[in-house]
Amino acid sequence: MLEQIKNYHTFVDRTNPLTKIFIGILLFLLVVLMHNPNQLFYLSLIMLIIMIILSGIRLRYLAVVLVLFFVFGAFSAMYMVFYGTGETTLFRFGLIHVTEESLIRGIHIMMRGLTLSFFGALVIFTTKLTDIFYSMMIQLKLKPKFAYSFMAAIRMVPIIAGEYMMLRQARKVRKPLIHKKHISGIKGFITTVITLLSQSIRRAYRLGVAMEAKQFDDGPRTYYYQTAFSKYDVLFVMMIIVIAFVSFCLGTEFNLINVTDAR
Amino acid sequence: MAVRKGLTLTDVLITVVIGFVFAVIYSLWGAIYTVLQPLGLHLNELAYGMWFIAAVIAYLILRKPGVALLAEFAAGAGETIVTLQFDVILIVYALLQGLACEIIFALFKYESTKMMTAVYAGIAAALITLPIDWFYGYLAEVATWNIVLMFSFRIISGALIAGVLAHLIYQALRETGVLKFVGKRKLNHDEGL
Amino acid sequence: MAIEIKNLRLKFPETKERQFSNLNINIKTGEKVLMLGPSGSGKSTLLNILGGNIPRSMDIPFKADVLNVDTGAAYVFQDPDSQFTMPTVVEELAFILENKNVQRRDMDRMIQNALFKVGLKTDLKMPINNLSGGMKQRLAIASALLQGSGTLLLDEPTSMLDEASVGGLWQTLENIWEDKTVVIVEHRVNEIWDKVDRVILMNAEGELIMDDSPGTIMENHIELLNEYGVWHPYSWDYAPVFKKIESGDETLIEINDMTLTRRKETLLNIDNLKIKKGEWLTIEGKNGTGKTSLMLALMKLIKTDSIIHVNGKKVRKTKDISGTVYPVFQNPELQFITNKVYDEVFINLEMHYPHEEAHEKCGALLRRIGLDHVSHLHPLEISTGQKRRLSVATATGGVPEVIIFDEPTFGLDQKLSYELLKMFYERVQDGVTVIMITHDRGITKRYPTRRLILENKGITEIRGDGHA
Repeated sequence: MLEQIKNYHTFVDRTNPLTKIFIGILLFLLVVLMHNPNQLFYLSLIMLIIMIILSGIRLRYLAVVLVLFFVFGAFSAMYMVFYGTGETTLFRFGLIHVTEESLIRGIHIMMRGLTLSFFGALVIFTTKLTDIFYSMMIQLKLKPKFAYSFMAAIRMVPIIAGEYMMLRQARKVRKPLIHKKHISGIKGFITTVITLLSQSIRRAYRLGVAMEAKQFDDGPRTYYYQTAFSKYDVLFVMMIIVIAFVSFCLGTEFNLINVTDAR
Repeated sequence: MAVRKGLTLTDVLITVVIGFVFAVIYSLWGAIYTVLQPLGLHLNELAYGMWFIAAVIAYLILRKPGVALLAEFAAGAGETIVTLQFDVILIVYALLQGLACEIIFALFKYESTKMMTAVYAGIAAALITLPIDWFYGYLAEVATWNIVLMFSFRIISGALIAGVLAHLIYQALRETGVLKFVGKRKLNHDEGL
Repeated sequence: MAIEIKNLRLKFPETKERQFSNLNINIKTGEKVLMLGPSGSGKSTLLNILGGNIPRSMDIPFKADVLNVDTGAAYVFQDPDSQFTMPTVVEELAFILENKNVQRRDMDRMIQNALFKVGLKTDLKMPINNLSGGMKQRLAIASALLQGSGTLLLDEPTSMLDEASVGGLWQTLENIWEDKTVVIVEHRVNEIWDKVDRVILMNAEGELIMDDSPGTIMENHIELLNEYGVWHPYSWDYAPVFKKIESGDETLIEINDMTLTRRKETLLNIDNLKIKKGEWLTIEGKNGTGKTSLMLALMKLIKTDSIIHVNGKKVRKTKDISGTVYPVFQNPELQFITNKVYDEVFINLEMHYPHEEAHEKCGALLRRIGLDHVSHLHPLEISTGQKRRLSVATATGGVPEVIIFDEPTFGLDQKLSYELLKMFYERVQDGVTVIMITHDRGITKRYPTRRLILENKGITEIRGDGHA
């Protein structure tokens, strides 16, 4: 599916998924520990550019994704902007009290989210799902029963989503024939969930039987995909280190605002 | 027939699939959650308990060690796949919330299916990520009333959604007969043959 | 490999009666055996014993004095959605080889070879979800081949396929099964009747009551086949016969200028279509001609350009039409909303009748469709055939004027299909218009008053044999 919206491939496509996930966790720690809004601004900006260049996704689709990121990012920082503490009042309306400090802090929190979202998008756009689980089996010695259960469940996602859509249509046509108490509110929610769950549990149970009939066991096995660490992983790690270093320097040298600590 | 130890392939499959069903629900729930956000009054926290309902329901169904953690991780990872957004925070949170539920269930020796057990797990999962939120969201710098509001909303939501609602769903699911062949079984059930 | 079971006893947990007691079966190496029986006879359960699924994956208590089964047997199951593990064709086949510890360098050749043998021509990286039902079952056969087992166990492999793909699938199976021991559970047997060595009949109590050559059984025990709901070559001679139907002149639904599109391509154009009171209509057409889409478009569940009138009133939204016209989808479980079979019917009746009368009518309706003995169960717990009948009952309870069924007899055995047909006829006699989407020529030839055939992006009408 991704292939259809991709223009080209880069070395990130060949980087081992485990490297990307590991870097993702480090990046999370980095943004939590970074309190200088200037540094974080440069970090998120460079991450945005890197993501656009290295993902290889057509700009049309990227634009949609980016708009969503910005909207969600803004929403998630509202509480800080409106109710954060601060000295310099910019705006006051009832409980809402926007100060310069809280505004900057809010933007800082939003940039944290954005940095991680940009990196996350880069990972999603350059990683094949099956490769993640093969890497986990081969490099991390994850037990096959976990890896294959995940891959099988991924195949079921469109089936579950399709069932949900049909369920909604089915209810739409049944609604006028019955009292609405049977179909609305928590009761409606519960019956929706249990219908989806029971269908899926039955399917998972039958699949378990089928997989073991196909002589699947949790022991040693050969692998169709050979995943390994390579020079691309080194390159990827180095790139992220350079990005972190550069944004750190830029943020220290070229201050856009006069605040160096968002706290 | 010997009772198999640990999680069988079928247990793992069912757990992961339950996680993925909730991944789909979480993705839809995300819309509600986001709509409640803009006022900054933490109304969204009232919807927070939904994020770990998968762990509680999977445990109630299978009652084996590791199920809650696995289900919650699957739900988080599944959400990544459904929404096509790889979100490190989400995965870390999912693991922690699953772990919190797992600890509560371990205290009950993986036996109890009482509603209160689910409620405790819901509250534990609601609490476990607060320290991270504290650092990540600079909560020390927010008006005190606002923080109190957020904490209480989240705990109430954990208890009601991940506790009470999860238990209602489990009861309703048991009535469908689908749970007859899954989960822990009594010993010596081949009597009378 | 030969299979031998002596004195098998098996009991499902939480049931009173044993499924099997003292069951004995012998199957010689290379034999092709067909097992037939009514639903509830335990055919599938026995098949799960023969290949070792019980007790390997299914925790069902049983004992036997002799149990020589092939735990390496390859299965083909009926539901394609729950027998594949991996996202794409090549990964699924590689999964089998990985299980056998086959070296990576040998995999490609073996996969190509298996695909060639089952005649599955597709891109290796094709997502399995995009394959048609027939192609999925071919993939399942290719998997079974790669497993390299001497035993092949087939659990209703064609019940989710349309008529056109069934013949081809059996041909493929016949091409590969020569040296294998094959046991088949199936209720549609036209294509394989002459190809098996033995037919075993099981009754509802789980006893093997007949074990003979196909010829002998067809000659002497055809009434048993009918009773067990088997679709055999002479099935339609035993089909229900109804009086001709006089449909009224009153137009209920009128569709004008409808254009159905799929991915920007025109699927179907309808200039004018009138549906009258008391008609029995069938909608036929090959896969992908837009039969189900037409139903959804009529209900305004998908967006289309069209002008639709119901009882002279213009339909703008689903709720303008949904009380009058009721569609029954192919997956009935998605339409259920209560936790008891009884309530499922009752909630439709409570809107139209006083409380006592609603209960009376509900009981009567459940008895008529043979669901009274399961009325206390959860709608998701009953069998596929029972679910179909229940969905028909929910449609009748609400007194809609038109009921549309999407492939109602699909995958059902002969007996259940005939029961449904009788229910449809009763509806038509009550003045309800019945519309069926169906592939089944046995039905379209006999019962409808009018046949709508979707072809070349349009509708062709034929007067049906059911018309007076």
